[in-house]
Amino acid sequence: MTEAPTSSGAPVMSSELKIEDLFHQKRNEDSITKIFSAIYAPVGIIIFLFRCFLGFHTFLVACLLRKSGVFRMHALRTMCSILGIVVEKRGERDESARVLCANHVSILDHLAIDILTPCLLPSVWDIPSIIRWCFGYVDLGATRGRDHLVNGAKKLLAKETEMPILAFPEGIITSGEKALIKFNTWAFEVSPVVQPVSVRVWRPYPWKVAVSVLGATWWTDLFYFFALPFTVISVEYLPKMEKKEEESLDEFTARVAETLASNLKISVSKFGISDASEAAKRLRTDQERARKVVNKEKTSPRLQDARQMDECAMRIKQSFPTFHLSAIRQDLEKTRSQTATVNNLKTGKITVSAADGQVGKLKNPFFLLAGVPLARFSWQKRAKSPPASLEFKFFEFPPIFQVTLDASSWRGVFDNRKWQMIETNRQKYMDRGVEEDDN
Amino acid sequence: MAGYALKRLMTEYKELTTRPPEGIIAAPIDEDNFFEWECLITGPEETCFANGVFPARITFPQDYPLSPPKMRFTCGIFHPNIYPDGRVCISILHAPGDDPTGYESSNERWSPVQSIEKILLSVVSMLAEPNDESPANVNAAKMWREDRAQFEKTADALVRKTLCLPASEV
Repeated sequence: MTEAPTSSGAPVMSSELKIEDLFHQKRNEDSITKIFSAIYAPVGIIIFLFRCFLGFHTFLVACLLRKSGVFRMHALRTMCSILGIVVEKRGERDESARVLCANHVSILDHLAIDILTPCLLPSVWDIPSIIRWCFGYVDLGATRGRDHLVNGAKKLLAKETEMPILAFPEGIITSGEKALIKFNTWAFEVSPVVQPVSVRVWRPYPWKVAVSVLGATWWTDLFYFFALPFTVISVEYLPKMEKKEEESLDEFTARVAETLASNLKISVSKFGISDASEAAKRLRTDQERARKVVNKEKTSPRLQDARQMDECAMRIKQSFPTFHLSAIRQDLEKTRSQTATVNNLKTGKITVSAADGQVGKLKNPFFLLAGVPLARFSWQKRAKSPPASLEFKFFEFPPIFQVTLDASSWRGVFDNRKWQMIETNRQKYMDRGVEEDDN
Repeated sequence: MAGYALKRLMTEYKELTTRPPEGIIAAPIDEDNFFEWECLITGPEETCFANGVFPARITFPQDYPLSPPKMRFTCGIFHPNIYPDGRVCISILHAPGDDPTGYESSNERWSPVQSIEKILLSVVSMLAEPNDESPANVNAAKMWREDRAQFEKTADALVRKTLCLPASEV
């Protein structure tokens, strides 16, 4: 979006944002951060545990102290700093604007703003009133519909003279780096005077872990807040904006969104909240599907009898033609699992190769013993020839490789001959194809 | 009865293991049960089945060799003399008394002097030269007569399958 098309003929589509671009997809985007996170993890967990206790106290303080008190504000700000949540303030709060509207970048946005200027946040969930009160939400009937919400908010503002209402018209947490979600208009209907608040959040390098990812749960976000050294939430109050006489609600909303976006140096996307939740759902189903596939592979059925293993060996051979069937089958005998054997093949644990089908290349001399030459019948065109009249050459084994008279070893001989027979014919078949191509 | 059958099967097993005919191998599936064998037959050269390695099962009756064994391909082979379920319809597997088709003379029938090896060699010759006069698979016989190119294509697809090769590109 921020990049202009290089040439005038370039399609506009190429520069268009996808809905997924508005969010962080992964916590760690570059490998250095990933490595660092792994090293930091033990320290992070200790800090996390420590901060959990402290967080509980902060929570108590926040509940007990009067919301508008100056002391509460300073106490909370200090405690939050210890918790790793550093709140920066820029710009001035304009008391005449009764509605604050901010962009949404983390689960603690409202906490950060609430510390700076105590405010009310309408609850969008049907949660018990005690919990709602603890978190500083007010029930404005958002679950019962937009009209209820707007009326509730208007009534509340009439009753409450000090605190403003805080609204996140985006309705969903974005990365705040690419574009804003299209604003919902309810907050702008409540009051014609609105103060936009821009919220930015960043973490010091190399703790560059995304504050929130698409579809993340609130407690994982909170875990990162506590485990990482600190996160800076900088809140900037922009000059208040007033709805003009001739302006429609949508136009006013769009104008506020533009102002906020230009302050953040990003743009306003055409995507609404429904697109965003659709994207989150899509991501979740994709992840579930991926997980299911992994689970399926992990629990690939244990191969019970020889027949299943034979079939499995032939299946694997299709994907790994360079390995000798016999080697695959022997490994299956050990692992009893298709996945395990495929992994062994990939990691090079199986070395016997049938690259060019030459028996002599095999390391196991038993294959030599097992070698069965190809059928070389000279088919005379004699219909219904009685089989006894056909001439057969018997394959004579070299004397040193005589099959023993011990019948219990014969089955092994059969198996080896079987795989060798398939391998040899396979090679013959492929050579035949090459010859045909040459002709 | 079963004792004699076992002894006879053991002798044949030894013969097939120590002096295997070209392109044919056979062995009991389980050493505890000598009446159920698996075998592999290489498709005869210069035919559309060439180089295919076709697996089949042979089931022996308790009164073997008085009664003939039954043979069934397990690879879904498409052939005029093989039933769609894989059973092989060949004169050597029929006892002299029963003649389902009326085409077979009794000297091609089963008798105790025949053997597994002879059965398998007969099957190889059957693969090379299908007999479409008394078809077990009517569709295969029809295709063999009328659309030989398609029959060869079907056979080639099976050959590739038995050799763990991916399906033909063309």
